[in-house]
Amino acid sequence: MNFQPRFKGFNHLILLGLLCAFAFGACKKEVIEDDTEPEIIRKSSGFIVTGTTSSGNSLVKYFDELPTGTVDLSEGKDFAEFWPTAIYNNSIYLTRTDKASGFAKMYVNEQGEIVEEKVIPTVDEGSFRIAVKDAETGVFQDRATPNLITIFNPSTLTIEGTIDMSAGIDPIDSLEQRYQRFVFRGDDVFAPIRANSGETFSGFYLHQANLTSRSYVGSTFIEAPFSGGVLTVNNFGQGMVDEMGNLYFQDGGAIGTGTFSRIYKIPAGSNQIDTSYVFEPVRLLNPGNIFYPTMNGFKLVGNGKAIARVNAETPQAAVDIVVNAGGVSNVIADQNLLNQVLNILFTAESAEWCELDLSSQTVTPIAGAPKLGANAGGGVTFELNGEIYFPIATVSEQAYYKYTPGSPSATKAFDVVGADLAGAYNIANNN
Amino acid sequence: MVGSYLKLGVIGLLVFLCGQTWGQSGLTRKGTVQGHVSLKGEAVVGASVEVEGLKVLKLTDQDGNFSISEVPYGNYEMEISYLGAKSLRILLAVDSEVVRVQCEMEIEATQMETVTIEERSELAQMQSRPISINSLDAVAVRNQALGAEELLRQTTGVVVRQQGGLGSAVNVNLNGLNGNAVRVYYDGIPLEVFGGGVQINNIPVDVLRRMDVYKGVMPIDVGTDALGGGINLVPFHSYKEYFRTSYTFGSFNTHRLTAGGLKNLSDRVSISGNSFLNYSDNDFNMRNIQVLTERTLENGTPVYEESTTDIRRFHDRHFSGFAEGELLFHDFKWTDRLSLSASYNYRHDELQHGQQLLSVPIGQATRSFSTFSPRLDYRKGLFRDKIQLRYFGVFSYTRSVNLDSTTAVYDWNGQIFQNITNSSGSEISPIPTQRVGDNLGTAHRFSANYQLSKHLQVAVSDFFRYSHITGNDPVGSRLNINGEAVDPNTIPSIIQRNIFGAELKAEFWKKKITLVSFYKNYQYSAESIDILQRGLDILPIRRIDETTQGYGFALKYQVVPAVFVRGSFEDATRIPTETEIFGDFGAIVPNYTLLPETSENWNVGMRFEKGIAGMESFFVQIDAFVRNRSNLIRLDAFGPENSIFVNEAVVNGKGIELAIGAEPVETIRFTGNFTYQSNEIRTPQLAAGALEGAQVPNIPTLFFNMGLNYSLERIVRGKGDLELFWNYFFVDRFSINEVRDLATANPDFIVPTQQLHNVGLNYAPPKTPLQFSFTVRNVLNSRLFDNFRIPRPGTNFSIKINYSL
Repeated sequence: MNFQPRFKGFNHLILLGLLCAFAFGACKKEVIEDDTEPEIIRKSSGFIVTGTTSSGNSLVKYFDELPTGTVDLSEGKDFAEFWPTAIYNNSIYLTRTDKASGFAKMYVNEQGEIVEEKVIPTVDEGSFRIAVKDAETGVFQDRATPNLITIFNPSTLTIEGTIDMSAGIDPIDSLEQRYQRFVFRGDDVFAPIRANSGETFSGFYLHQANLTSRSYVGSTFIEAPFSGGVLTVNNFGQGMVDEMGNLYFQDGGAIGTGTFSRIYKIPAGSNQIDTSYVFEPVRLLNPGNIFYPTMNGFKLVGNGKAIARVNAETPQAAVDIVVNAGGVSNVIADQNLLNQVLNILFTAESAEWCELDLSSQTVTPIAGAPKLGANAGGGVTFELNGEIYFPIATVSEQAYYKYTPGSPSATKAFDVVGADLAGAYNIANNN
Repeated sequence: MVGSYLKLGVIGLLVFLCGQTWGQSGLTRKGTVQGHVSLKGEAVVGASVEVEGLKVLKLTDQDGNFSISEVPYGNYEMEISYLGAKSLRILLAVDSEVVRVQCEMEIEATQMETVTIEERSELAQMQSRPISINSLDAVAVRNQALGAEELLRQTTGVVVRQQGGLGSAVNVNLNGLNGNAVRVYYDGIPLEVFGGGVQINNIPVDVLRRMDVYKGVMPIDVGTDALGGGINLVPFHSYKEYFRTSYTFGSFNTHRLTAGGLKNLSDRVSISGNSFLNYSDNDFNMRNIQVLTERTLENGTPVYEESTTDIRRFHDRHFSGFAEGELLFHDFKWTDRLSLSASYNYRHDELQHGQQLLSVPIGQATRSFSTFSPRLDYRKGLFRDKIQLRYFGVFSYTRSVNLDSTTAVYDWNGQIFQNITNSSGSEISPIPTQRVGDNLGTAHRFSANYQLSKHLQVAVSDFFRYSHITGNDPVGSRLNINGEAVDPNTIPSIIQRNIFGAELKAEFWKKKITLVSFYKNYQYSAESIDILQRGLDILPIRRIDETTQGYGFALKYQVVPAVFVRGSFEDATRIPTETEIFGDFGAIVPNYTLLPETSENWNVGMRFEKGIAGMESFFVQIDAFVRNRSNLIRLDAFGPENSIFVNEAVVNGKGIELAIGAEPVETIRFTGNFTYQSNEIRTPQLAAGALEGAQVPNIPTLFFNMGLNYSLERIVRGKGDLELFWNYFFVDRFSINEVRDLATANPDFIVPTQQLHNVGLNYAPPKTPLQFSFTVRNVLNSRLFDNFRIPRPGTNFSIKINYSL
């Protein structure tokens, strides 16, 4: 009586075993060894607008066409951070968007979503500068190895090698450098330095390397005026070499010392700063602005011209505090007064976007755009159909304005709400 | 504007209460019987007092007091009864206007039940205060292998998160407020006085009697400056001789030892001690972690590749110890209770990572603290206890050692990368440090409580704290003062705070209504070096002095004996920290005009507690809260290079909480705690573009927990008691980014839904002082996260052995 059920159970086991064998066998047959990565279909054009929240994370929104009207970033995709430093072949290169150590390559997929393609990890979480020369060559610095520039392939994000920069000038022996920016000219890369630990040097120093020979080339510097505490050369993209091959850099000037922000020129064919080229846009607009004579957002726009945000105006409220205190030394001796003055200098809407003529050394404020703070959010400009788009962030509006180089009169392109404006990018443009 | 009206309201309330009370202070020809009921020295709440022949039944209030007025002169027999205590009958002679009686009850229970009854009395007293408070019973879970932070999780409105395992940095979120907004106290003393060696996640429950969680409104006799409330860890005290010790061992090579006891030298003098030791490797496994590996290319170039794998923590050992001895005098003419005590604590931590987990871990940095702290606590009642005085004073000396100076770079296997060195020379600090710090501090609180009449009580409290911080760092940064290199650590920083509070408490309508109003005055000053100054011939010392005010009130209405409703408000204040004012001597610049953070904290709630037909007991408590915060301090960019703490943000918080407890039968106990909260950012950085309405990131909005205990007495042929328990915790998903809509938020930054199941058992063999507990945490091996998505351990266990005499 008991045999039958056992027999039936045995049959079930056999049947189950056969089914499993068949199933696993079938599955095994269906496995296709394919190491090729799936083809990525990415948007080849479009615009990305970014902003930051009060908690510091980023909100990012993509548009197929240049946005008009009002962009509401609160509907954007959130990342821990989103600060592109290069765009090439429609891919975005930036520090990793989850704040992990290293760099990421992002793209916009068919659905208009911003997605990560690959990452290059670094040892030092503070590594922040990556740049792309062309489809095969890009560079970055892992600040854990401050004497090395690492070469990578921007298409595959594979490491190709390193350049030993230990022969580069070292303004203070005990301080290793970090590279604030990488600018390509031909096969060379130029990189302004500051101390890896954050200190500024008493001059403007650059290292130069050759990407073909992967070797250090030389250094150039100018001791005075010094760059002070406002070394602002960490902006987006390239745009520092003109059609003739002249290379331009700027420093940020210094606070309260009368040291004006200056543009430096490395002439075509030369590797050295031309010390005879002295172009100080702030001084040209207002030689009396010794409080905060700074400039940022400098970028060439073609035909020997550049755009920059020039802080020419001295806020009267800051002047009044200094006068009432009996002089600068009394303000410096009183941290409350000093904070008041600095806060006014940093937030007063005393700067304006200007067009700079690098040959004639003239500065022309761009009409039609409101003034803004010297350190207002969003320092990123981009080009579309021959027009330059630049950000305005004031207490009353956040927007992008546009103007045509050579005709410095601007009109508003679109407004931005929902986050503090950080930047806008044309992903069709290599930078 | 609202604040002004509220201030006027509170002043008016104070005047009204005084008027009401004085109006009631008439004389009568009949007598009034006033009494106090205690059980083993502790006030009994809810004891029934009945005077034969008068048909009067009174219940003792939250202080254990009762009052029966209009009693004709004569002799009576009075009976006091209370659950778990022997009924007490007293012969009473009413022959004067006021007759005072002191009623000391005796426990009618087994040894194991004694503590529970005492605790219920005390807990009920705390829970029924007009201010919003959750009082957690540490004694009831003493036999379990729990830390204080685990007990704290078992209530409403609280999220406790750590940076790793036992003893790691801990963050308590109370009704949506974090960090410095929530103060933690040990026996009423701010925990920071103990110098960092003692914190909420290295204190075992064994040394505690209970934990009081004050939500948004702090009483003047406990609070300091607390924006969102505070947590008071109340240590275990007893006048009865005892000795108790426990040893716990568990996963990750964790060992915890506790010992405590009391010896009576006479009937009024005793000595006691309390101590604990903790050690853990904290080497738990973490899943799906990004790790970095080193590889060398053919051309000699080292490259670093990242992969996602499971890894085991390797540099996170924790050791801490605490020992306290106490000499106690009680019931003398000159004191009701005088405690002279001294404690020493030591703590050493290896650091595995900073606030967030990176692909490169920390492999050498360590931190240690040691604190010696003598303390005096004096209490005395005067004029038949109409005036209650308390003073405590504590001195503390803390030495801290931070070691972070290596050029080695570690991988997650604990190996040093061969081709790379750490150019900054430090792993977690911005620059190398071997700082040895010395913090000499003192804290004092004096409080007085005066019973103006039977319905009116006034109290004052003054808390003073002083810290003198100095140190040295042989490898740290140097100031250049007149051409001389000066270690900034050698220049003292001084912090001084004085917080004064006054409180008026009145009871109306046969004590059905209790009204409390209070005022607080915060005075603080700080002094430190201002290293950003240049070109000065003297050391630039900066000093600030500020004063600010706070106020609040609480109202409770005892609808029926089983039900009360209550509401409370405090205009709360948090004084800026030293770093917020003075900066970090680096990239953060000082801001001497920084204002205190403020928050308008509102609470309203009701509680129903009663034995229901068929049930041993049942309670349900519903609370709602509002936390409107302004002048919140946050770090803001200051120019192109620096940052500064500023008063800017406004956050509107609100939420509801539900707590349920039931004992359907004597052997089963169920608890449940549910919280839903919202913390919306209301103020933009720029008027034109802020993300208004977004949730403050990294704070859960919905979470709840449930617990079930099942007791089996005299199992196995009447031998031994067994208790089985299960705890379940649920935290709904939330984003670590500031987003407006979780449904459309980037899933990469969403902390997923978390569910934790802990189970265990306690076993008490018969006729032995031993008890055993076995706990399995995270039995389903779920993925759980601490602060900023740092993984918590998978399934792990603890075994605890208790021995008590």
